[in-house]
Amino acid sequence: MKVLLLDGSDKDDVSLNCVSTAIERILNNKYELNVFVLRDLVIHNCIGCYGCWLKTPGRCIIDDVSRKITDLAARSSVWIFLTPVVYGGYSWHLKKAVDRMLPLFLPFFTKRDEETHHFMRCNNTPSLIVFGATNCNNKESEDIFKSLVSRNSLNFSNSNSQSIILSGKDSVESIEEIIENSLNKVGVLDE
Amino acid sequence: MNNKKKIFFLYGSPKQTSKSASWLLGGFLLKRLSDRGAEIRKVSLVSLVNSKRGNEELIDTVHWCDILVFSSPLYLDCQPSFVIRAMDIIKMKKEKIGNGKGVFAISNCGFPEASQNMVVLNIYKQFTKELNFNWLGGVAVGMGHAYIAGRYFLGIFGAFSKTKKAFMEAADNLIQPNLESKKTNDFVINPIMPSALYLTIAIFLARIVALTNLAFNLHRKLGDVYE
Repeated sequence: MKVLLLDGSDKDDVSLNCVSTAIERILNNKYELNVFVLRDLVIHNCIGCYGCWLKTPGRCIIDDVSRKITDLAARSSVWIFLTPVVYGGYSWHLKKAVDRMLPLFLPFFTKRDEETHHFMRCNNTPSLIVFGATNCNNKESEDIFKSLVSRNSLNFSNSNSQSIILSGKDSVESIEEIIENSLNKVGVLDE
Repeated sequence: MNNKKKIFFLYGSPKQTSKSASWLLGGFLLKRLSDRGAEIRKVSLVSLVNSKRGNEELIDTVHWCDILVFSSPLYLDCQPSFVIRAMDIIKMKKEKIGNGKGVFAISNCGFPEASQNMVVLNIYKQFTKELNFNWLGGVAVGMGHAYIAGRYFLGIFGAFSKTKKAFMEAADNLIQPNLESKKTNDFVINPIMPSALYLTIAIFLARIVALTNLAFNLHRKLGDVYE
């Protein structure tokens, strides 16, 4: 089983760095874990050209690491995103990588939950787990975050999704427990 | 004393302005604001966020303005990454900028349902709140491609008249004095044509573009791409 981890944290984000380390420890040697620490990678902005649909279908015209991320995303059973909660959304590091996943879609339309979306290019329907870290207890921000994850999941046709908010007060032990629970829910640790 | 409202238009699409619904829709608002005497400055965020000089220009103009107007497309349920980056840069320099700026936002998507933009507007609202600015309203627009692909044809037949009217009303609201006490209003622009017609035209035009690019297998599987 392949697991894709997109780490959109900042360098000094203690709780997310802790999550990343714990996931690597829990999953390594059992699963093929592919980790991308996005702040260390040069990923260009999506330029909205639709070249990945109408020029070189399935491949972004910009040649950088996002091509590899897209390829692995199409072949992974679980996607894990790590991000600080930024105005209720993702960090720009994570968003840059997510924006460049457009080749996963076809230009053609379908209906999901009575809304128009794009067909997926592949049959893969991975689980999505998004860990968001925040230092302030802000319900509005958390609600936006949850709705964003849920919309992303609908858009990407994920088989299921979880959005997990971590506060700066969570201990290492509790974070590990949260991770194990979330991985159990998507069946990763059951195998 | 100069009482002209100072408007800072933050263009949040990476596309050339002539191909961008974000630019066109923002233009409906700016035209009215300009007619009503507002002073307007515009920047393209994609070119601004990656340089020190660009960052300084961004901060200086936010400092100068009374109202920030964001206009961005929907990219995977959210604004494009560089818009979030610009918001971060503004937040980092909050001390220099001060409180009380007004924020207005336009988000458009290529889907028929304008409501798909609501998360984006909520993110702009949360940004406004965290910076102690004032939310002045947001507009969600669907069928973004129709505004660009059909801007001449549909424009002639008045298909944009309701959209323009909504933006004119929003502009009239923004130009009023007493920003803080103003009633804020988020609104959704109704579809300008039936969804089925829009989607059929969108796919037809996409196929034409693909043919001109000699791209024949639009359904190509990712395994074939990366092998």
